[in-house]
Amino acid sequence: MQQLFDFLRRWNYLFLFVVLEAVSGVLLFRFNHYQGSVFLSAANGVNAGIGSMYADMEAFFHLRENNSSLTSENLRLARENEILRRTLAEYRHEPTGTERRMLERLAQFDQIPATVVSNDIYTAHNYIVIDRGTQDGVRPEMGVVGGGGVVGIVYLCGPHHSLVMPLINPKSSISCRVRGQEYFGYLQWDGQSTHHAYLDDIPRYAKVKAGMSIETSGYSAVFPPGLFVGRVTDVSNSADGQSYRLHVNLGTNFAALRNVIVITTPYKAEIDTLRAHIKTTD
Amino acid sequence: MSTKILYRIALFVVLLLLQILVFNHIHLLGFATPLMVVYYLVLAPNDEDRSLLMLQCFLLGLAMDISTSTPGMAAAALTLSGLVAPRLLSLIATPDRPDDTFTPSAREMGWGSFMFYASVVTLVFVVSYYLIAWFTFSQMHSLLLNIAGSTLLTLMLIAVFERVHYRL
Repeated sequence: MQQLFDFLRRWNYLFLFVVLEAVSGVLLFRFNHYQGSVFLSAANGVNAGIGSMYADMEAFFHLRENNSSLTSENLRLARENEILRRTLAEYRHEPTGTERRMLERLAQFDQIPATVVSNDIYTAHNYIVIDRGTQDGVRPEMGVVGGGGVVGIVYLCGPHHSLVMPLINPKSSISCRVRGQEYFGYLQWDGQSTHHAYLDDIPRYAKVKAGMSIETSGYSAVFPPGLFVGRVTDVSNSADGQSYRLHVNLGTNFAALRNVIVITTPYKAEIDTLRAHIKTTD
Repeated sequence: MSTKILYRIALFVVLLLLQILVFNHIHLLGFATPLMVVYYLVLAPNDEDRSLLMLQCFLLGLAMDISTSTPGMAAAALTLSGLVAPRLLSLIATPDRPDDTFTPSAREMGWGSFMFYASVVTLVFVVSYYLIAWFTFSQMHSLLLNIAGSTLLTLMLIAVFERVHYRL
């Protein structure tokens, strides 16, 4: 305390100096217009500087909020962009020959367009999920086709989604024929390449060559006859040697499957009833 | 002691009146104005209390300011000069014995030392006064001319006053 007093006594003229200069300054800036205005504008400049610094700081502390709102905005825009791009692609889409022929053939059937939402192609038991279900009219055992040809058969239905068993599933078995000939067999998949399947039970006297088209026979009541499935690449003997085995290059590229059509055959119920009738009478 | 105080008071009043009535109206060549109030500070004894001296300077400057209706200008400049003057005096004129008291004058210190001391104090006052009055560096040429002219004129007048004082 004593030291403090000593300090104050020793330097009291400095404190007095500061006080006197402060009084002079107040008088100067209060009563002299020129100095007052210069001081005021300088003070305003400093004030504005501090204000903008404060605003910058505030903006910095709101960066996290801004960032999250921008991220959600970005996500929303990305989704919107995706929807628009898909719509545009649909409008721009030019059907291939196969597709056009298929559409012509399908014109008499009810079609339900669908989009693939999940697609396994590298497992032993491949399944595809599409975004249409019972509420859209999809029922099990309906046929599914794509731009490249037959895709598969609806296996199970949910209200909004359906499980499709594609051609490249070992359990899949679709009745097919060689185009232009009436010989038919069942298309099977051997679990190897997703581009290839084979058609068994073709009689040895059938004239089949590589390059011929394979299409649906129409016997199964799932697909109307004449839908493109694939092309014959090779002809070999079947395991028992009684018939030919046709190696088929599938028309559908399962690795790039996006838009498909579910076909509702109007006579399926009728045919099934008749078959059931036969079974009961037997 | 009391005569010393009376002398200081008389000097205060005389210099203030001279400044207000005469020197403030001199603008030699348009830029040299004698600021003789600083003479009061130059003549302050070396044992004067620093706070008291500063207060006197402030009041003298304020009185001059009121007469020119520019409050604060001379007060601020003269208070600053009052802060540095005692330190300058102790540096320039060292008394023979440490506790010697004296009043700065040509007779006491010799012309050289006295005029040097007066020059530095005057320069501090004039520079700070004009800086506060101008409050900008944009007219540097005019500012420097005013500072140089006023300092020289003030010093010449101080020399004349001192000469008269010396003869007495």
